[in-house]
Amino acid sequence: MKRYVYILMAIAIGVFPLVVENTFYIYLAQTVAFTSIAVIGLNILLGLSGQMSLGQAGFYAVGAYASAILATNYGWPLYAAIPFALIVSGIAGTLVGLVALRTRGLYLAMATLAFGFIVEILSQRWVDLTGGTMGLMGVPTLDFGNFRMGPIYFFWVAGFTWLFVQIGSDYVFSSRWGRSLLAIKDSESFAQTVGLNVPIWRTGVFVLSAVLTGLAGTFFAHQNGFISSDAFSIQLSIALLVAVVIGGLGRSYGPVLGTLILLAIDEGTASLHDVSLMIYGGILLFVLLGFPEGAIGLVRKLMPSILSRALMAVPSSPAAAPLEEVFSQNRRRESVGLSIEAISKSYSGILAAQNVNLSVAPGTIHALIGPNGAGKSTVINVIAGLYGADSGRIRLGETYLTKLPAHKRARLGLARTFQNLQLIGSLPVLDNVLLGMERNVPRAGGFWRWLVDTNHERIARGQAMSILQFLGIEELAGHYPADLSYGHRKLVELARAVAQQPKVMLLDEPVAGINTHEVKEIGEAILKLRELGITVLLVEHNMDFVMRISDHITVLDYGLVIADGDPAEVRANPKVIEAYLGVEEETT
Amino acid sequence: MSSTPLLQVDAIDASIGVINILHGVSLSVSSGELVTVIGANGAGKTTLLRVISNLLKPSVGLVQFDGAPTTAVEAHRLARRGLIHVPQGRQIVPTLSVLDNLIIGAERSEIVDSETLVENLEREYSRFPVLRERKDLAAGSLSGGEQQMLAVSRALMMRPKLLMLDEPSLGLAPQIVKTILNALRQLADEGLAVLLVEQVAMAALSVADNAHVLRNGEIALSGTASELRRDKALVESYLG
Amino acid sequence: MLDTYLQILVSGLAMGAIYTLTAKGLFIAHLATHKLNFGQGDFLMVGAFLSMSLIIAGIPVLLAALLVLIALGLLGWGLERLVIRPLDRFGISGGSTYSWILTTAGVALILQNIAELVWGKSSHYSPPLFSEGRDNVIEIAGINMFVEEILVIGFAAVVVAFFYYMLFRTRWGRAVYTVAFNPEAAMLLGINVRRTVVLVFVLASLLAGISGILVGPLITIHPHIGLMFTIKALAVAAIGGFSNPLGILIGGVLFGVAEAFSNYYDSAFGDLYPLIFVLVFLVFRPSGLFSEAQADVR
Repeated sequence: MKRYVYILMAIAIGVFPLVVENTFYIYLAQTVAFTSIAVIGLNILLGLSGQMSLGQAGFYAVGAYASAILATNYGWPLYAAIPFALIVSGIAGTLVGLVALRTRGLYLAMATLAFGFIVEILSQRWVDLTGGTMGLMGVPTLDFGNFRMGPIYFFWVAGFTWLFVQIGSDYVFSSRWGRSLLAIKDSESFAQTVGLNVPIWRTGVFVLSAVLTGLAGTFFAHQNGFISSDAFSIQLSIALLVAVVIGGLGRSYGPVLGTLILLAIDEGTASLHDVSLMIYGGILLFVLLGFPEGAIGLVRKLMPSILSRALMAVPSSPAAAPLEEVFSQNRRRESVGLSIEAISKSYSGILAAQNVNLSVAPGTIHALIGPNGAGKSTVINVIAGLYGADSGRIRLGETYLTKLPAHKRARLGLARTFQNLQLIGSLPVLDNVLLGMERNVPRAGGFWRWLVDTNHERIARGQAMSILQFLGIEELAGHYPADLSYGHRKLVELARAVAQQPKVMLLDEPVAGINTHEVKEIGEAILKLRELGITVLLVEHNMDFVMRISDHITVLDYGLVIADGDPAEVRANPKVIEAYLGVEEETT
Repeated sequence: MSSTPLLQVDAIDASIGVINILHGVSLSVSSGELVTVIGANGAGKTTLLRVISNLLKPSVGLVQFDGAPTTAVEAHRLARRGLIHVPQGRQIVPTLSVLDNLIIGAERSEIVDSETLVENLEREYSRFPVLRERKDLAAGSLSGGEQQMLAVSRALMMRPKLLMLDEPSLGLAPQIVKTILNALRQLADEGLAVLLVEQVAMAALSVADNAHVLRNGEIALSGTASELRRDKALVESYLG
Repeated sequence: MLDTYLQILVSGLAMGAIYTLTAKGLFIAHLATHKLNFGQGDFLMVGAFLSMSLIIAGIPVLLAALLVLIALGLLGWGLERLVIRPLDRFGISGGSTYSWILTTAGVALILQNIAELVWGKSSHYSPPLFSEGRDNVIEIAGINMFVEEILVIGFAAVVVAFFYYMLFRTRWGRAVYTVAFNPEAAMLLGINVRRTVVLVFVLASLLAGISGILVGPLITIHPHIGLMFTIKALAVAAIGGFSNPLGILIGGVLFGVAEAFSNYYDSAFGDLYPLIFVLVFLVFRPSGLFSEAQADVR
């Protein structure tokens, strides 16, 4: 299906300049094509990975100047100058990405704003290099030496480049890449626990967006034969943001649609040049306050549902794969235990865990209980690697995990669920489960299979379906988390953890806040996990539940282990009763 | 003691998002009475207090304070009318001094002139003398117990008619818990209505007049505090 | 030679004082709401232009300043009410968490355009506030100093002191800190959280307005100077980690002085060095130089 859409688009790009003879429209189409590339870069950066950039004009300028200067002053051929300019943009992206790594939200917006500002000032004042506001003259245009046909050739190159980038963007949006970025956007600690190396991803996406924006800049430099610093002001950064916002932030086709709309507005209001800033500002306010989904969101609402289903066909309920296939790895392996050796952890002077020892026998269900503030969550988070321990060691089977970051622990077979659910709201249930599989899906050939196959993740989806079936919730596969009951969401999170094919699962309050019937369902699901040989460590307050399903219970109070034993022993232990109910003492 | 209770909670249901937390909870508190709601973690105790102080709207049911329904009154106005809720974790402002924390309470009630302010401060300093010693320190530097005392005193600076506390014992040593609970008992004896939410049942029951046990969002047991202390069902409701 | 250094120092202190005032506005808004105005510098620009026009029209300086502050207060109120608070209804999941950055920037663009239409695109000189001529010089300890600069420093010091008084000694300041700590706990203490937040944005705008009035006679103003002030004020606020008012004071003064000296030694790119320094510094100390240990995890 999508192959044919792309072929149609390619034909349209090929035919357009031949049919439309008005050079002005060809010029506009060129601009739409290469500007869309920059907007796609920003869309992936902001819409998928959630990183704000107010300095995209900086990358655009770096690409444009690098290519223009090499070609004009040093006589490099364009086929050498442009790729080199992309490398330079990539380096700029890496530098800004490093700042981005250490900063978030507001700081990032500020840093990128400053970056754009610095590049703008340099291009204005470093006249020897850039020509400043007077500009660089005689920049070679991308016309393959043919003056008359030049604009058409330029359009073809820009158009097909856009198409390639668009296809790449579609791939990112509909594959594990996009899912991973959304996971990082929603919660970094969650992304780590499904095995993603967050810093690499965050920097990587900055570099990608810088290179795409730089690419657009090189096109710009070789479009007219002249560039000056006036083109690279903050207004350009804002324009790119306006385009991505009107189009629809975080939608693959948002950028091209947004760019079209923006340039149409620009041209339509050319006579109103004096109020162009006001128009930009007005659009930002109008869209963000009124239609945060952008044009794509509107189109979706207006489009007949049959058409939209045909265009955005996502196979929602694939056939389930045989369960043996999914758990082959687990079956072959022996169950593995987890031991926590003398872990201590304190924050701001409060000892949350003191010398905690905990030994979870392979293939058992082990509960960690205790009153509020006893330190249970601390212990779970220390085991998962979200907090570092002050002292002590953690061992998974024979491997010591103490020094490893969270994502490496996850890759070694430690999966977890969260007390406050961590499901990606913009993804259906099945895709949320797929997030757990990212480490197990083979990467090679992903793109080509995606291009020719409407269901390129057939195998993974089949396996995910099978896991949902195993937990008895296969009918939820196509729903979004927001539409599910809380208990079902908990099961989906469990399914995602199962999809990681863990050796040990950490469950943080798996039944908190759900009704009695659902508690039973989850209890059964956990018992099934034990059958599969998965070792379970759970923190929970619902005592009926804990007493019923646990093989072994450890009780914490004030960060200390106060009891350890099977459910009957623990229930009868006076220290435990005291910890929960307090001491019986006479009133004075 | 007036015939109608100061606080009347009638058959409320409440949910957070899609999670149902409370089902058909009813209780009442009169002036001069100390009522405790006990129950294990996750039973819905905090949600109950949030509904009463109108931080969360109930899906069904009615809350009346001082003879008027609370649902149409913004939380900060309820506080100014004397419905004071000391939330879990004390929530004293760590960057402000102890004195400033106390003043925040006073300046939203009708304590306007400096004379009344000093009077009220003196009363709280004599209740918890350690606050006087620490009055110029940043509240964040106090120990947990001192912070809890500050939270209680700050609430009392607001001239409460009803004082609600959410797990004041959390993370505190038993001796300090006793000091705080005894102070609450004394306040009730002086005529204040107190609603105490606690996980540590025995300590709460030792000072309360009446008690309710909350379990999975429903009231499982109710009675006078002394009855409940002897009830075997109490242990079961905690440990299953 | 020493004369020159002292003169540069005074100029630097004057600009540093302006950056500090502007950054205080960012700080107070961020403290209470974790949001701020990305058009803070453009609010300053509006303040500078308005005061210029009013003074040129012959209105006494004090009255002009009052009018400017009323206008800026209204702007701040409108900003919070119309383009920041309405975003809350989309929740965190709707759109982007940082939509407020774009909406406040959108307002900034509109203000720039209005300024272009009213005052034109070229640069203007604002009449001096405190003396007859822009170049009025006073001799202190044998060195010639610009009167305007000295008085700007003095006046800014008074405003900063007043700001501190407001923040640490008044009912309103305590409310701001309580809202900053936990809006819900603030409600339970009887604080009207929404009104406090509106007031915070009004105060932030007033600080931008005061900065604008003061900076007018020191520089040339045009409709696009706002961005530079926004960026520098953000940098100064970041030195203080957006959480430490003293850090912002020191950061602002250091930034202004550093800029004055680097401009002296490199007139082409001097103003960029302090900015680049702050960016590099952020990589190593992302939560600022003087911020409290608690880092904002999100």
